[in-house]
Amino acid sequence: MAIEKEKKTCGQVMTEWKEFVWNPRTHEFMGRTGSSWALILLFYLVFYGFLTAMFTLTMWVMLQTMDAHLPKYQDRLSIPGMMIRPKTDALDITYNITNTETWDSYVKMLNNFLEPYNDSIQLANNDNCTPGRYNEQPDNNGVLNYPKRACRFNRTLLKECSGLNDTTFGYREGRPCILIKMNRVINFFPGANHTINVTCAAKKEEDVLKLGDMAMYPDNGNIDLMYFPYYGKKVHVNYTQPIVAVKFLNLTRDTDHNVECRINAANIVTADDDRDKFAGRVSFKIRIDKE
Amino acid sequence: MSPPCTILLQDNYDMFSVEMEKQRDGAMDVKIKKKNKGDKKKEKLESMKKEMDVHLAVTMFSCLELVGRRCLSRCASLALSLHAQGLSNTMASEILFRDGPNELKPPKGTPEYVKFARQLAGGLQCLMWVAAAICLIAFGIQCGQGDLTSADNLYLAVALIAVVVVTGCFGYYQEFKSTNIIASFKNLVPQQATVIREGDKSPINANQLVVGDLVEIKGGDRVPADIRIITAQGCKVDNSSLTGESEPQTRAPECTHESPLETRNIAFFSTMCLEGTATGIIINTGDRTIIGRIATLASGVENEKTPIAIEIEHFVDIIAGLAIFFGATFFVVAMVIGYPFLKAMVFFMAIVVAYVPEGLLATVTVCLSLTAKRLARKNCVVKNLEAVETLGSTSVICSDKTGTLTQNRMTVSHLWFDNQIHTADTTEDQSGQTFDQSSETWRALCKVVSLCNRAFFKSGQETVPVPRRIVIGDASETALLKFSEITLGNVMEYRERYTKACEVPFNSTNKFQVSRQRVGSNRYLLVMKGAPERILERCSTIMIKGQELPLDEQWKEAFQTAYMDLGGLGERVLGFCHLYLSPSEFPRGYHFDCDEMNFPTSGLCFAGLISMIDPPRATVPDAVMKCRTAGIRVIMVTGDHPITAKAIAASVGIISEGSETVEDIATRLRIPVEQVNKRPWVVLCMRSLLQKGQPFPACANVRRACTAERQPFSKLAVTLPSAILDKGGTCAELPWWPFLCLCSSGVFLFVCLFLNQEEEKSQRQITFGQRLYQEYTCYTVFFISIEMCQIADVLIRKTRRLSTFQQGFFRNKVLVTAIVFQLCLGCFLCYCPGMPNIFNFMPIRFQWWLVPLPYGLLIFVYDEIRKLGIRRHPGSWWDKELYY
Repeated sequence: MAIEKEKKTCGQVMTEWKEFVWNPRTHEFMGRTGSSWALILLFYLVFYGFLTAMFTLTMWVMLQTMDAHLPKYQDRLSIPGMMIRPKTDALDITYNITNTETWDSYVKMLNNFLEPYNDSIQLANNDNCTPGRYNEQPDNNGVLNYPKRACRFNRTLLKECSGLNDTTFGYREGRPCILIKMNRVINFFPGANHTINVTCAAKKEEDVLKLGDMAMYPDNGNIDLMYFPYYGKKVHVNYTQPIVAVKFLNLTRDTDHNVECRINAANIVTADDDRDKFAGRVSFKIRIDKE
Repeated sequence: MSPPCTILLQDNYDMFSVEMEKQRDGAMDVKIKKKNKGDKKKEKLESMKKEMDVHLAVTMFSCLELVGRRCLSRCASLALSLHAQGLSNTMASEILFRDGPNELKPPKGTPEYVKFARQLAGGLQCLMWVAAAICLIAFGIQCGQGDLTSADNLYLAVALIAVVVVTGCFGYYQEFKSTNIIASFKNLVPQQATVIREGDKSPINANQLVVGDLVEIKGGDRVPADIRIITAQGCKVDNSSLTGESEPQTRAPECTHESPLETRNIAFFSTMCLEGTATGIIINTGDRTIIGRIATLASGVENEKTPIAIEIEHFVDIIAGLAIFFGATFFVVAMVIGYPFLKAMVFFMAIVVAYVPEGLLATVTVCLSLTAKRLARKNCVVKNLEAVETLGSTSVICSDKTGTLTQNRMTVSHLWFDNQIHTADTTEDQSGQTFDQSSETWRALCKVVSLCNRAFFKSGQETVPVPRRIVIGDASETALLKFSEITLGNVMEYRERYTKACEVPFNSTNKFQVSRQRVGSNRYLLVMKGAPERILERCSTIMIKGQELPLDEQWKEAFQTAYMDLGGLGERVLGFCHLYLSPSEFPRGYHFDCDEMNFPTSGLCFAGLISMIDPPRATVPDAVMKCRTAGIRVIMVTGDHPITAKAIAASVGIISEGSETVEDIATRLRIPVEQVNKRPWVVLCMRSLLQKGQPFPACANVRRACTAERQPFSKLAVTLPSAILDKGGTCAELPWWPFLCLCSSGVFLFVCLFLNQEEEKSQRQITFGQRLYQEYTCYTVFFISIEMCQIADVLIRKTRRLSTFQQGFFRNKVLVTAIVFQLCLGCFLCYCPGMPNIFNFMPIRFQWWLVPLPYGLLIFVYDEIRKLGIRRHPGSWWDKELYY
């Protein structure tokens, strides 16, 4: 045992270590000779080279199976999401009427968003479709019906919230407009041939009075069926997403208002599911400070 | 005690002062002065006597060790012989108080909490403690930043600690259980010894003996301590418990060797006295005895690291290195991208922790515990869980020959008479074939065998089967006695019919043994046995088929052939002859004188040869076979003659018939023995007590044999087939990492692409929740693809060399169960409702299970090619580099 247990001195350890790094007797660097290193590196070069090649190949093969225009699966999108404009990080629209800078960005955002909805652009690019009907454009027995036409959604439809008459979208006089849109889902027929509309309300019953009246544009917050289905960007050129605007007419000042807007359609179940807060509904906070 | 030392001895009348001074050359000069009683004052003498008596024996042994023979032979034995009265009772109790009882102390026990703490402080455990600490720190940082929502780090820390503690409890429980069993061995049998104190002989418990006590031992006793023999009558001891030598060894007062371990006048604690009687003075008790020292040495061995501990340490090093490397890389990248310092720090910690294989420790412990349990069912006590793996990773077993591979009892194996070699039954339970016993010669030979034999059965064993009866006598005679008892029947009764008239015992100078017996009423029979060539010299006739034929050249030739044949089998051969003395020359009542040999010792009639061997145990060849098929080399270590060693090795299957010894190769190639580049199967090394004292690896031959076999690569992966759920993989799988990662991340990417075809392409919009589910789906697919590849991996890992096709895919039922369980678990996690919100698992499409299959298949194909190369070209570059 005594032979086994001898403690190595620091110097010995250093010498051993040095010898491991470069052994002059056997010409070994880190325990391998030059040719040995070369061989093993070559092997791993070939090995990993092969792996990379194989990875690339299989990746390419897989990419071939994908359609250029359509996502392969969209079976989990039965409830389209909702979103508002102007969009902030926490969906929190707070501003001070007298302080122009606080709402200027909102107005800019809305203006930018509504740019493609200008009547002139819509007139130039899109068709005037029959309201109340789905605008189906099926392919004929494998012959692609391409590109598909989109329906007009004129900015003027939003009336008070179009930003045409009132360029500040009512933010100046404390009656702000919020735009609500529904996510595009490819080949989705919302409402199942019945009208669909968006309604907004205070999140809690007791806040309804404080929130005051709201005006919806188009009327009732209706979304016409002619804007559906959506066929995907590449196919459905110039598609214009329908939007609904809500104008708060009589907001109590200096108070947080939690508002929730929902889509009401026959085939969209907007259950109060806490996990997905944007499925078929959208909640936001709005607050106007007096001074 | 350092020289010079002085020994004073009190006799009835005179006092000897023995002074030893160390000279420059190291030799001792011993002067013995005789002094008159009156020369010194009486009180001073008294006190001196007392003191010296106490130290006497200790000093004696120290001197013995220092100067060896000279001290003992010249003065000490003389001094000792004067010490005939033994110790006084008071003195004995004083020494007992000083030295403690004469028993082997159990090794110093470690406190229980230390044992438990040790279980919690292994290599992996430390890694996990660090990981847990990091988790807690990360959690603290997150808390400090006001991020109270994610308690993931806290959970992870708790889980890590739980794993360490639970597995620690497992290990501790195992150790605790086995310690109890071992402790129960300790109080086996209290032993008695005959001691002389104050001139009275009395039996006392052996643990009450003290240094300086005068004890008597006789045949059948266990030597109660290390004893310097003072007087002996035909005393022989069996040192096999110390040296493994089955040959009884004579013990006598004369010193025969410098080394106390080799000298003949010391009998050792725990050895057996086989025959004769002896008195001796105790020179060492308890742990200071030779066996005690060996025991202490042996208990010192356990601190050596087990292979799995080394393995895990290595693994931990690699993991820690990788974790810190990648953690640091990501930290730097995060900082460069512009994350805040604390966030980058949390990131760093997360990566470090992610590298810790949480499941590995539990898997190792569970595997080892299950194995330990299985071993326990086979009556093996597992003292330390890691020892299980050590056992499993055995590549060389060095086994002692005597008593381990063999039965440790000489047995008659062959007989030669009527010019024919007969084979005797050597099985342990005497179930083998017997030979033809009808010949007249056999009867004559049998007579010689049973009469010319001094061994006898210890009385009171009539009910014990013959092979197990205790015999007083040396090994060969015991073998012959048992042999004749089995073949003839009651030998003792047979012997009584012949009165012993005279006997010349066997000794090394004449190498034979003669005894004369009276046959019936008026004839004497002379029977003789001994070394065959010596016996043949004294014979003029040979008995063939009951006829006495003259011993001519032809018969001598036949004898030589038979002798060589038997000798070539590595057996110990004895010759037997007899002579009926004529009644006229040697009438009844003739006085035979053993010393003068007033009787004929030549012109005898040769009866036959009997050869004996220490036969292998019945179960050994099978066990050796199993070891060899498992790839374990069995090495036999023996001090026997090479021919004997070869014969035994061949008969248990360690070497095959006709294989060459190192010496053979050396002669064939005409090179020195040291240069023979071959891994030995049998190691011949001189074994002596001295070497026993230094545990095994001290024997250079053995070490060479063992180290030649060390495999550089780990077996960790082989041990842990069920670690497939583990995220990290293991050391041996390191080359696979990129492969697995590529394949899994490939699948991951496909699915991500499928689900998430770029927004520009479709301008589809999905909500945050929907995106989250999509992410979960990707995780699930990632998990599933890893699982599938790991199944391929585990099938590969079943063998290290053989093809999986040769091994069979599903022969290991447990493994199949594990794979099925794995799949079921995967399905459960995927498809059980509610899983998305608990474990973030999403139900996935069936075809996504199939995507990783080609990759698994590819891994498998690659590995089959690798193994094929290894099998086809052993020793090649491919084998050396790619054998894991």
